Amino acid sequence: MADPAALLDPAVEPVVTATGPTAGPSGAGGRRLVVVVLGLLVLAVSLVAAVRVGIGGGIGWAEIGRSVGTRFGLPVPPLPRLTDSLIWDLRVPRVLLAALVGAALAVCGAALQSVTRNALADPYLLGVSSGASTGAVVVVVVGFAGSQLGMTGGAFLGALVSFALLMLLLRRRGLDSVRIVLTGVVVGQLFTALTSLILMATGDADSTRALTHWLLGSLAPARWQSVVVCAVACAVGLLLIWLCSSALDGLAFGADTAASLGVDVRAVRVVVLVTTSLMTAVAVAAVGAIGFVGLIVPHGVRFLVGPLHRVLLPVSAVVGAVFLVWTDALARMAFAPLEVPVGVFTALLGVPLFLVILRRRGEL
Amino acid sequence: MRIEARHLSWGVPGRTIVREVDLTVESGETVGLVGPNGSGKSSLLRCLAGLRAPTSGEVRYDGVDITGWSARTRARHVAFVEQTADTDSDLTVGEVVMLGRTAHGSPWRGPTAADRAIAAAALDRLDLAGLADRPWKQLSGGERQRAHLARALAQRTWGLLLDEPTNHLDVRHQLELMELAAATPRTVVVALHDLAMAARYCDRLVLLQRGRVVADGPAERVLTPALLREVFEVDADVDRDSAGRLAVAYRGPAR
Repeated sequence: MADPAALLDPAVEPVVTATGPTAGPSGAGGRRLVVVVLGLLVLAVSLVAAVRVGIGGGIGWAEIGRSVGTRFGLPVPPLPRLTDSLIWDLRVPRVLLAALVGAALAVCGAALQSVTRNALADPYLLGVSSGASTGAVVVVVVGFAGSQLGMTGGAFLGALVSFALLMLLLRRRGLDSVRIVLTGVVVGQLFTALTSLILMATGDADSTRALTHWLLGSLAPARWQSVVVCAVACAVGLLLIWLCSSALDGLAFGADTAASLGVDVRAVRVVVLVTTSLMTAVAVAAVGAIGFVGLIVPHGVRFLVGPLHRVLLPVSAVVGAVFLVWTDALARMAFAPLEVPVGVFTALLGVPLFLVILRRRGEL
Repeated sequence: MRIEARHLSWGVPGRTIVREVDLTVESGETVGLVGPNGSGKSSLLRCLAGLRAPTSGEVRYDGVDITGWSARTRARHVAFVEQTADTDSDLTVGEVVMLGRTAHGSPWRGPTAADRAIAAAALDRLDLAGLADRPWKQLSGGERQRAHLARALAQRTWGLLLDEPTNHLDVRHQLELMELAAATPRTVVVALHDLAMAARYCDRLVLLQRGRVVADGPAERVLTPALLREVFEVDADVDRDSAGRLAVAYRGPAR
């Protein structure tokens, strides 16, 4: 190993000869890799199992295998149309969409918690999800309901507007946690009210059902079209935010220290806020406003792999996916055949955690 | 690296905090910024670090105006340690020190072996080697301060700007830190409350009052009873101790 004094001397180019386990802050690298691999494995199993769980109608592994097999051109006897459609057009996209939305919301939560330096930041608690709902509903009412992209665009605009409003209200007052959440809740309430108003004013028979969907979130209407849109947004968003990892780490000590470390604080904020708005919008346009995933998942994951975003973000994505796949399965089965909106369960899990975080920070 | 401020002013709307400061810190020099609370030491340091854009005037590194430099370029020239930089995050000490390598990394890959070796050397230099895996929240105030300094050293910059780095430190670590600042070939600007410490370890002192430089020179010319009375509003005796160093003995608030 090189001479330690020379390593710190800016006049000398650092020469490191030693390979293998260098001394010092190597972190639990091996453990993190295990968590990632294990997480992906659990995700794969979950995706498969959740397709089967509670599907009813006498459908078993054989039918699922045949339905999926047909799509990949395997020589399996095809299923009756209705059964096949139940599996391939309803259940498979639903499980995939749950995974994608869970991943997106978890990554958004982790990134927002860093840029706002606030442990309670989450797209739902900041009112962004509600803004996205309003945007999507406006598009539906104006009459582009069929187009997933149109609804996503509306939701994106709604998300940006609610974010802008939030920042306007917080201007010059800092981002301390209680204030940001209170303001976020107020903004969220405003947009929730707007959504309800718009849906009720259009007055069609389904408006109550539509309302539950947009305000509580439900994966029931999942189709392949929204799976594709979500997959693209999720992949692009995760990559963009992941590339900001070291900047997000640097923000731990505030904007000044981050800037002195070489982080372009303003650029990172813009990238993260716009990207999370887009990801939230895509998720909301597909499944409505599901709350607390962005709060629950990153907190749990930090516990497992530590706070460095290079690892935290991808693991949050995987865990968020698994989390929502199973919460949705629970929502389907808890009172079957009646289906509970999945947002009800995420809230039931999220609220106690919210209180625990507040209390730990001595703010309650 | 020479750090200069030319006619530097900075303020917030309605209030000027740094006024027309001209200051040159030569390569390798250790300069102490002294002055009462609110005299603009922290703000001046932030301007010198490029964290605040001057409302007028400019900051130069080796004669080059830093206006418009990217954060990354600045971070390769100067490192900055805030007076109180705290976090709710569960970062370990080693991870905090590794943050010093941010400006040298690429977004596509994690820290390299060289980064790790540098961070380890910085931890070692500040007596923190055994604490690398300790979570930030379990550190004492002094350990945090040292971790920040190790992080700044790991940045491997020619300029080092320190805001009250001896706060929270016990006497031994205060002395060690100031010896480090005095001995390093880097250009150091350090804001200090402890005048005796400033006099002993800095090559030169700059005395600020309400954002202006009122004295600039060797300690014995800056820490005079008259200036201490005028700027700090204290009555003090300035004398030499048995080792021949400048000693400031306060008699009390000026009456």
